[in-house]
Amino acid sequence: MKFYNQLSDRYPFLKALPFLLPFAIVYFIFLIFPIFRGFWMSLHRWTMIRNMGFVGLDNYLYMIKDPAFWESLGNTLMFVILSTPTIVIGGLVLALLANQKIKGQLFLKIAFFLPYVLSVAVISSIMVYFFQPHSGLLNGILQSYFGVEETIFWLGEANLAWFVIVFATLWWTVGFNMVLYLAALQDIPESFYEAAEVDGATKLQQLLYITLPSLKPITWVVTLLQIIFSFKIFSQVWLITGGGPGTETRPIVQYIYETSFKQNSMGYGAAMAFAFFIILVIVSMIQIYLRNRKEV
Amino acid sequence: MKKALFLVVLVAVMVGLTSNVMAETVTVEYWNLFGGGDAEFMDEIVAEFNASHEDIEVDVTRLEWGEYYTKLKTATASGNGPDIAISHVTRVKELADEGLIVPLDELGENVGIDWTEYNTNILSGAEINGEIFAVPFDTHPLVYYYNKDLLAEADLLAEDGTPKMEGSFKDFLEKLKSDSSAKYPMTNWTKLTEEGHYRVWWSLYSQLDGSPVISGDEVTLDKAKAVEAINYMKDLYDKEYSPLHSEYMENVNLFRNGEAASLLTGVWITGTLEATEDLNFGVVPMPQIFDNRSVWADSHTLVIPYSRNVDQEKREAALTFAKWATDNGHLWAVAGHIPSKDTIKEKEEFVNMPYRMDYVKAADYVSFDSAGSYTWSIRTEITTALSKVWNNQITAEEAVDQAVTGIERLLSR
Repeated sequence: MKFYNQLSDRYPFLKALPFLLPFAIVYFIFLIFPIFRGFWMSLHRWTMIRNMGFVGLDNYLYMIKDPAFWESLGNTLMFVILSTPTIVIGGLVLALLANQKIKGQLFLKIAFFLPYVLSVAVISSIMVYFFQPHSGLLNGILQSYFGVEETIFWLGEANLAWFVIVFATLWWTVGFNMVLYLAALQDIPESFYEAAEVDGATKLQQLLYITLPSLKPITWVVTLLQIIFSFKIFSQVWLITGGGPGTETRPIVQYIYETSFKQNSMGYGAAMAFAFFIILVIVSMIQIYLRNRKEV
Repeated sequence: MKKALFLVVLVAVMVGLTSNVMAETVTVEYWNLFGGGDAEFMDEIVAEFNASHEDIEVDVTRLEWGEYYTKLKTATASGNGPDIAISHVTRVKELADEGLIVPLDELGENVGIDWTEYNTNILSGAEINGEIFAVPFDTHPLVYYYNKDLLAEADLLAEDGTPKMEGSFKDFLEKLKSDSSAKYPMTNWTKLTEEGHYRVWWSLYSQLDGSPVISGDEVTLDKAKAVEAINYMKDLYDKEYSPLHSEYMENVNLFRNGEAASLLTGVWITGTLEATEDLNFGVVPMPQIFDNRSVWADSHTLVIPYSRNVDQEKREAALTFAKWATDNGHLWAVAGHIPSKDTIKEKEEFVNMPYRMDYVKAADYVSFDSAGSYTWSIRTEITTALSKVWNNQITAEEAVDQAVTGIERLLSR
């Protein structure tokens, strides 16, 4: 003990070590190690249970020529492009609504946030029940009250299926962004608005010149988080459309999952997962670069 | 301090004692993938087995269907597998090829299993290179359920309560469509990304005597027959005999509430339909459309996972359970499945059950689609290609070509 004290006086990091170690071990075992292990696997032909031999970069070459890989990567990008603005702006609009000094404001906040606490399995079942063609709630309403004659295949046509997926994700996760925005709205000093009112600014002008500019920093955070969430899209697609019709809404994570666990090709799955990891690293680096430039 | 020490000793003695008692009964770790009604019936079978066997205790672990094979394979490979497990017969070759399950010929004889008692058609699916790797437990083919009231409206119900199919199957559906009050003459599981289509396609393709999809590392799909089967199905959907895009429970419910006059699905739904109030239904094997009566089916079988430390006593106990469960197949037939032993079909308990005898013959027509490790991937490739035809994106010929290209890519990996 005495020895340790002397030593740690000379090297201060030794004092921090016992505090950092538990986290560092878990982080290494569950994050750092799997990254390298995954890369190692991607260089082999690997079934679910055993290593079938070294194949070098064959899996990566196969990937580049695999149309299904590019299609599913494209689908994931499509989802990012569709969902990020929708859910960020949706969160902002709901936060502005819920921030009004009106009656029932608490009710609005709760109502907007509530779906977020549900699990993906629950929201997916609700969506399937809502959108299924022959006995779904939405088609039922459309046919009984709005005179729609034909059956609309919400999950059977690519464009509609995308709409359903984005809608489901919006409804499910928008509450989280709303809470972040609400917190930021509380931070804008009341005196700004009072001063603007004295100067005769309208409500719209107050929104455009006070509220929105003040929300800029949080918008960066929300967008960054949203893009990463959106890239990881898998569960709700898997449970609602199954990637269909055909493979037109199948995201890359689903393709990796199917390849690795259903088709028994862990090696090839690992290669795609690693490629996807590199893409995400690049996206994050671009974001950080852009943000740093803004701040300067 | 002394008190604590005393307690530790006491606990140690008690643990020692109990494990001595345990040594007399063999505990068999049993994994299955059942859900819903199936799971409850299986639990009852296990409970009854445990009650009647003092020396064997079967301990059931129920796993999620979708994750089952991943867990079974990885657990077995790492040496933590169960002593006995359920496997679909179409998975047996894959498990055997990977060395994850053991052959049962000799072991079976030790506990008195007589392989000749099993339905030969089902048993052949469990046989690989002359060795038997699985104890067949049941088979669950597609069968054709029909609503008697709706068929009667269209004068399509014979006096003995069976459907009157005098012309072709499509004539039958056409008449049902025009003369009955049902919204749809038929329904089947048509969600585009799911296997429902594939099962019907495989049945029709087999009725045309189609060759296996792959043999060894080569694609041996008979393209002309594959196209013929697809075109037949396309016509079913185009003429709106069966609604497209229906979710699984949705299609069952269309039949249950009388909106669809008939239902083409697996035997496992019998129990659910029986529990539906005011549903007057009957069931027959899948209609013959082409040259023979083949029908898609899968089977639940019992397999013994490989383990490094062979415990003969445990394996025999596990197989004793497998033998007992198949000998008492009528308990399982309550769920709707067809028992694997022909002898059960003569048992009074089975014969007296309604509906089961109406489709029990289907066991002789079942056609398994096992293609070793590729079974799952091939199903997915074909399902995807089929769904594009239903959505009018490609023709039947293009779909077959796309499926073949996809399967060839799989084989080249």
